[in-house]
Amino acid sequence: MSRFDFIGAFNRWVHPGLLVVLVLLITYGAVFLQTAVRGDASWMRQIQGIVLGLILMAIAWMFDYRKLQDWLMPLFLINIILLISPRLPLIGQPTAAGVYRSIGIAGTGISLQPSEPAKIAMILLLGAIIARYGGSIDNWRTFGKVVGLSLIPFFAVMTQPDLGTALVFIIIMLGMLFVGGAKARHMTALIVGGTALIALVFWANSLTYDTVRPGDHLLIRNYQLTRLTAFLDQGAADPHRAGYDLNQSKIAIGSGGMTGKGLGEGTQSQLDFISERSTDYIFSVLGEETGFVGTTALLGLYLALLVIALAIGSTSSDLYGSLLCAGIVSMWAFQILQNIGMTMGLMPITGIPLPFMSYGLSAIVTNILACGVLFSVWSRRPYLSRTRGGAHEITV
Amino acid sequence: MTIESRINRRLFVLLVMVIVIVVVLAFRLWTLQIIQHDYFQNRADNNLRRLSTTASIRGRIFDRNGNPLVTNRPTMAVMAPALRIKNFEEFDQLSDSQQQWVHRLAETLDLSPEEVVARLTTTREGPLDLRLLAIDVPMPTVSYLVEHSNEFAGVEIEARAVRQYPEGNLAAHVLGYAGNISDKELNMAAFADYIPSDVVGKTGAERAFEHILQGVRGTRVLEVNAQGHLQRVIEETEPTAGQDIYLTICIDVSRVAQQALADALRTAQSNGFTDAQAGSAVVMDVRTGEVLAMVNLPTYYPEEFIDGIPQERWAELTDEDSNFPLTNRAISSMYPPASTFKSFMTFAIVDKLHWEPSKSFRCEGTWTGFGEQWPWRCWLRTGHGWMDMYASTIHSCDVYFYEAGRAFYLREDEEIQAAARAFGYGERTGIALPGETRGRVPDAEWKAYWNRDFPEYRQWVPGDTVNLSIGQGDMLATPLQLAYSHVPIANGGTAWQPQILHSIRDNRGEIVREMEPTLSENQPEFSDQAFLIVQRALRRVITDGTGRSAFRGFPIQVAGKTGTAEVGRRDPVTGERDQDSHALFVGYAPADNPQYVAAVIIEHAGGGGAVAGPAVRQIFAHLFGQEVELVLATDDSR
Repeated sequence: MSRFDFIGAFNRWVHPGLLVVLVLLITYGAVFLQTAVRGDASWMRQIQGIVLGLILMAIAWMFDYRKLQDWLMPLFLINIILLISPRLPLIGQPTAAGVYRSIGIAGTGISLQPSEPAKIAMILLLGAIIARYGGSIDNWRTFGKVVGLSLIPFFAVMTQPDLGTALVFIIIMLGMLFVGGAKARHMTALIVGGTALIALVFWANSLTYDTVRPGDHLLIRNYQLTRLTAFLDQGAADPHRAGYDLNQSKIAIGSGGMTGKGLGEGTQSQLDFISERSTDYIFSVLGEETGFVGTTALLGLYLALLVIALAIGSTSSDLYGSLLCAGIVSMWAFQILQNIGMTMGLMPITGIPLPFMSYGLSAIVTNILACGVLFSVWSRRPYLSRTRGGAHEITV
Repeated sequence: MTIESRINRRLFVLLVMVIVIVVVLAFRLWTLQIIQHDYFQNRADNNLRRLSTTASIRGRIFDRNGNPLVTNRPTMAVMAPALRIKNFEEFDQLSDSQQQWVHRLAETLDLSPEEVVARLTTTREGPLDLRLLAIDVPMPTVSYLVEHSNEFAGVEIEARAVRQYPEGNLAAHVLGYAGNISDKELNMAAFADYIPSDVVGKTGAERAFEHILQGVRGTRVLEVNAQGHLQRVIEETEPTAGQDIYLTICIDVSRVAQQALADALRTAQSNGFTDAQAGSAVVMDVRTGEVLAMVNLPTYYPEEFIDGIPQERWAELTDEDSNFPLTNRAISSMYPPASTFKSFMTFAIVDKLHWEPSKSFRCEGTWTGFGEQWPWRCWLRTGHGWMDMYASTIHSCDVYFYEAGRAFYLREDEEIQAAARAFGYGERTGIALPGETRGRVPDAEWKAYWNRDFPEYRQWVPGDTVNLSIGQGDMLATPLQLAYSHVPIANGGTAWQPQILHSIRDNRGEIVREMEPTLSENQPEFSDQAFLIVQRALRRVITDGTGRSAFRGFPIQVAGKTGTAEVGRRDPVTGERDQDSHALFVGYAPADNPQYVAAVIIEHAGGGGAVAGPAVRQIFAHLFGQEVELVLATDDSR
């Protein structure tokens, strides 16, 4: 090959649809975030996150994901180290309330949330495990082994504690198990069993009422309970705390109407009725300021992103690639459902960032990195390239 | 099925789920943003709109000549958002920063943290309304609060107007005082459109003309953020200031009258009447019914009520030993009219008994007209000798009126009471001031009711009529009634409605409404002869009788009557009372062309001619351009 085949290389490496959607999403998120944070320093940090994410994406893109299949143990360790790092001395940044979610790099003021990149590590790890069974997990032992292995990082997140991210882990696991060939009855048993376990925890929690903490529960605190249940009565029972946020969010979105109030013009957003304006409730700001047009545009971009990710999964040259795509789609789909659903009273209130939109260095880096994984899978698909002789050659 | 197609099928299932999620979210967005948009738009608007009110400036009060009596003075009020606790006991529930905020405010405003919490936990206002924390705050404190506004989050400084009383305690009872509306008042129909932050008149003219003085408060529609902090004013209507009122009183006459009362009290005390602590004076224009002065001692400073009077001070002002400085004695206190009542007896004697003026009785100091076992004394124990109609009034002889009382008793027609009522006794005069009492004209019906629980005292007995005939005992009148009843005597038969309001003016001084003299509903119907006799008799009281001492050398012709009201319990053995009598004098001048009537009562000061007479003389001296001087007089009559 004396001459660089630009067209060929582009076709081989670049998924134009994914690239366009990614650029649009990053742009949409960055532009909108700037109005939401009203030009404070956090916007520059987000831009830095985007740049860092794009660099990591390029590395992931170049890297052949298939090699990772054999890195089971390193992936597992990376995952666990990420999840327990907030408890490590020097870098751990516990909050006053005893929550260990962040690590900091001394002197930079940068605070990272390792559970975000851990989602990718989790997907890579689970994919590597599940892919070993060749697309059919047909007995309890195998199923149990996969579930058991993935529950270790799950519990590591729970100890932080971070219920939202833990839920994302569960959804990723379910999605990948499903694509990896788990039996319907195994999946059903897992979901029923998990639900029963959750019910048991809530029941046990109700027994601790007024024991150690006067007027409160021990395991799941009152404020956590009300956050989880506020969407059931649309905030009527607790209109001052959890219900307040929900009501203000709905008012913001609803008052946006068809075309919104204009960027920076949302009264709910700009006059502080929306708390966590740039993170958890950024969708409420979007709804108020850009209206139905702006919110459905975002939903459209998300739909395109997810469809493309699934398409890449179906063109993958191996099961591992399909599983990675399934995991990434599960992660995004759940976060989108949970975050947007929360702002509209469809889902319980948990702090899960909205992909590409919420402010957060770790989240934006992770999401762009996930696209790098998708590109990596796409670039290694079975590909008919034209040879000099005019014959087609399949490269794997 | 190949492994690839199976995986593709599973990925397709994921695709379906993704589409379902997006559709569900889009549908929810549709309902919120399109279908329910109006509802949420409305809620968003309500979220950031607050209705705030601006108090109107209360109308001022002037005397008839435009001298300011009650004005407004600008001041600074400190307002702060309410605390979300019920009372100080829940102080611990506040966050540390809020507790520090309270302590900082308390220290800066020189209040206790308890007081700050009490003022910021009131429940009468809306939850988001600012509470009044302190008023009349000194400028250095205001500057400090403004400069350190970051330490006093939510605290606002509001310019306000508070009442100012240039005349101090003068005529305080007529002016009254204003204060924050009470919970009780808020529930009253008269204050239906009032809000908890309003200031209302509590007593006196402030209360009587509340709806003229109040004005219309302004409203402001504000845009606030989630913390309730003001962003901008959306809409504003300016408050309309209340209208000014001009009272009929003349502040100069009032000042002289108040000084005359003070002099009279001092005189009485130097005469040995140490219980003489209180008095009341009323001056009316006999041609119009206008009240030129209405003063009482002791009095008070309405200024004390500006920021709500402290509990201890209120207790002090209403204590039994305080002599009730807050009471407008001129309309709220009742005294026996005593010998001043003889004039009204004379009307009844002339027109009902048809006695000739020359008809005479011999006064020997004791009268036994209802039998030897019930002797009645004239105040002059040695007796007046032969007394006719004129002499009996001039010298205030009781025996003549005992005889008349016996005649009325035998006629069984309660004609004395009818004559008293004809001149306004026993009924409110209807003056536009709050707290007026009716006084009392005793009759058989009243006595039966009064003693309903004591059957042995229910019967109207001859002694009751005898007592009534000299204005003692159960007969009671206010100082205003005393003056008012002499208006027709002075002007020859016309009862004018007592007026306190002269005119209403807007704040440019233009007259909005001017009061006209109004005839009383109840006019005394007596013969011209009766009026002439009483007028002549009252004139001769001053020239020849019990009032001579007080008006000796006074160049203005005065007509009037002294009175000495017996009060307290009578010792059955000695006949002595356990309290000193009240001194009364009521008179008008000039006698040949009457313009003003003045009534003065000095409590527990002995004979009316001795202290009340000189007080009236001082008032008339001022009214007719004479030098106001204190004369020492004597009077032993009753």
